[in-house]
Amino acid sequence: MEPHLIHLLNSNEALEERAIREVKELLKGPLKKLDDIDAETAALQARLKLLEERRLEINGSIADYYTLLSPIRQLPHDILYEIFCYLLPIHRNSLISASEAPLLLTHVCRKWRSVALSSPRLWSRLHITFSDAYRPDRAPVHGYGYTPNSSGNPAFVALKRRCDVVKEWLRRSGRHPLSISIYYRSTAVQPLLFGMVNRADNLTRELLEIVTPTCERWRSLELCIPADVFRQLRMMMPSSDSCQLLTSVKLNFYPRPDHDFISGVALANLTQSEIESSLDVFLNAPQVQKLTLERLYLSQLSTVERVPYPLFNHNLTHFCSRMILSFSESLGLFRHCPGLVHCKVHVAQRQDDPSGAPGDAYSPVILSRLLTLSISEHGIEKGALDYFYSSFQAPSLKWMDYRKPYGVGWSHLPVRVLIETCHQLQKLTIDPNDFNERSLLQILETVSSNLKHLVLGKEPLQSLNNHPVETRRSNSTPSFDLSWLLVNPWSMLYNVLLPKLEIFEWSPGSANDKTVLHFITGRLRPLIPPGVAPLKKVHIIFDISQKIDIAQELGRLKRDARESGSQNAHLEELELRLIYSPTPTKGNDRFSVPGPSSSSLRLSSDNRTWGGLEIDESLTDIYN
Amino acid sequence: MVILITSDNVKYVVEKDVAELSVLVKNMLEDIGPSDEPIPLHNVTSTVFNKVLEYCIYHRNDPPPSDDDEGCASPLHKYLASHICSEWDQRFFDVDQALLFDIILAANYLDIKTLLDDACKAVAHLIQGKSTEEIRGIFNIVNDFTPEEEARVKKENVSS
Repeated sequence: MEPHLIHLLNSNEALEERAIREVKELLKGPLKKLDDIDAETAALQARLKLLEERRLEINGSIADYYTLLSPIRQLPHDILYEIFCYLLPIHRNSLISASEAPLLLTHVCRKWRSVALSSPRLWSRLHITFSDAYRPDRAPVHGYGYTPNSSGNPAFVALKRRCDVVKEWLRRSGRHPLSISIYYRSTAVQPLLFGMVNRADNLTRELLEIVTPTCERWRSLELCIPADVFRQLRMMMPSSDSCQLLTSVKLNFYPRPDHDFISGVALANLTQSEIESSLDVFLNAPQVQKLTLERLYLSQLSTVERVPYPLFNHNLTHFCSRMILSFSESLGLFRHCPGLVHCKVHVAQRQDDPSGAPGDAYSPVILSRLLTLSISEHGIEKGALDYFYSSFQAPSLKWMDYRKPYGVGWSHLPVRVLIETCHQLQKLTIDPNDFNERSLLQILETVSSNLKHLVLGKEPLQSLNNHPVETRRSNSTPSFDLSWLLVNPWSMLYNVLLPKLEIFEWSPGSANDKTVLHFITGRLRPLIPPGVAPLKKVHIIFDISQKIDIAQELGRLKRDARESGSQNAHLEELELRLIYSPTPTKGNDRFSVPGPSSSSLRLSSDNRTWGGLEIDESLTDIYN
Repeated sequence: MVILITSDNVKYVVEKDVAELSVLVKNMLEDIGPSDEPIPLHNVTSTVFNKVLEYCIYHRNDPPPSDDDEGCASPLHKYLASHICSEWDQRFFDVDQALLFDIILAANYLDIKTLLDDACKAVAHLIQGKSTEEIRGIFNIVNDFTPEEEARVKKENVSS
């Protein structure tokens, strides 16, 4: 800028006309340059835009080529089918849900749909949820205006649609053996109205008419339904010998509120003999090996009183029941099914149970194949328990899960008679809250010599978020004292309780950290007494807060051992899992498992369809 | 030792027990009897065969796979068979998609059942928990349903 103009720039004086003309003249050049630059920028931006458009275009065609080269296209149908098979859920049947296989696979493209639809095996497992919500007396809020087949009844429309889907699904399964589970929910919230209810369950009937003709292909059946629906299903089956392929049956008849509250009469009052005649076809099917009987309610007011074991197939290998068996029934069951491999029962004394030790002429039932036995014992009379536990033997038993709810007052445990004969017992699961200190110690001393795995608490020890499982908490002093299991370098073998212990699990663990650390290091020292096995796994869910960081202490011992050149292999290999203060469950976190988990699909918190009692194969098969 | 030649003419000298994990190679060895003749692997390139060989060497001492696939095995065994892969296997199959599918095709051609099964599981793992759209995106699959077909497909499976 010219010097005389710089002078003016530093003041606010008004410019003379001449100066104004001069400044305007001087501005022309820079303004022209600015215009030129703007024009050039615009041209370059237009060019850039063009290039970007071309780039997108080329990218699109490259993506198209990549799509053509997509390696999954090259897979032959049979390999695609193999991949599809690995997408099916293993621990339950497939859901009628577009978000999981096999339905999901039919939505991807024509090729996948074609492969899925032409593979009957993909459609051979089906979980059906159903309800009586379509009935006018069942509609919880607006029900009175509907008739059962009213198109305005949304429950009717949805369940009718479900019948159609089930029909199509089963058609797709071809002749493949089937695994079927039915969860039937009764939605009744109000008493039936006299004379206003059409009792014809036409949609339930329609579903059963679709399902029962496939009974010749049933390999596995899981029914969680009211007893009257079960009876209906049984009556619609073509013949009594139609379940030739059936190997696994799980039954749970829950009480349906089909109850006339005014007269007090149960409307679905099936009798024991009626239900037994209906069960026959399932319990005695020629290939049935696995049987689970949850609670069998006949109506809201009555349950099946006796376990109908005489109907069972003699070749049963798995039996699991929440129904309470008398001691006589249990022994009858063992005699009837001597090939049992896994058994889970609740037993209780009844008046007609024999008492006292059996006579010399009595030969005990030998369950030679039994590997796992879970007994929840509700007996109160010592003589009856003595008789029961003296009357059978399980020489191959590897795992025993023994429960004695409210048995804290007992100082004598007849079960020891049985345990003493189980020389191959490797694992014991007991809840310390069931026992007093003396009886618990008696049990541990009885199993002491060979036991490798001790579980104190209820299995599995953890829920989905590592929360301690629910257990009955005793207000008294804990009956289990970890110091019983401590091993000192100078311990003599005969003084060591559970010398072969390799796996120790405890929930809720009430020992302090210092004792736990002594317990672990005592059994992992390089110079443990001869005959004492080194620990391999310790899993404790504490109910007390952490005082010592046991993992850190063990890490320090490992480092010291390494630095001194005497690495302790057992210490290095120890699997340690210690859980202290669990964080509270937030919202639905506990149920946030992969896959569909809508409540309408009736999944349990671990994404299974069967929420009831069962023998957990993941815990039992380790001994097969 | 067995001499194998891949489709791109790379020669491999492989221990017999490793080579015989391939049923194709095993049958060929039985057919030709004792011989130093190299065995051609027409459908496998050296890039893919390197991976196949790595797998076979690592798994050479594994017990043979069972033939069961239709429900004779216990649920636990089936569960283990379907879901559990060792850390080594997980790392082994952590490769780009093209190579993963080439391994599948090679395992199929060479008839190595365990490799084929494990590779199929690895692909299934990519699909597990994904939506239709996500699956199409992962594998570059074109939605070739017409709008009418797609509507029908969706409708036929809606149960409630």
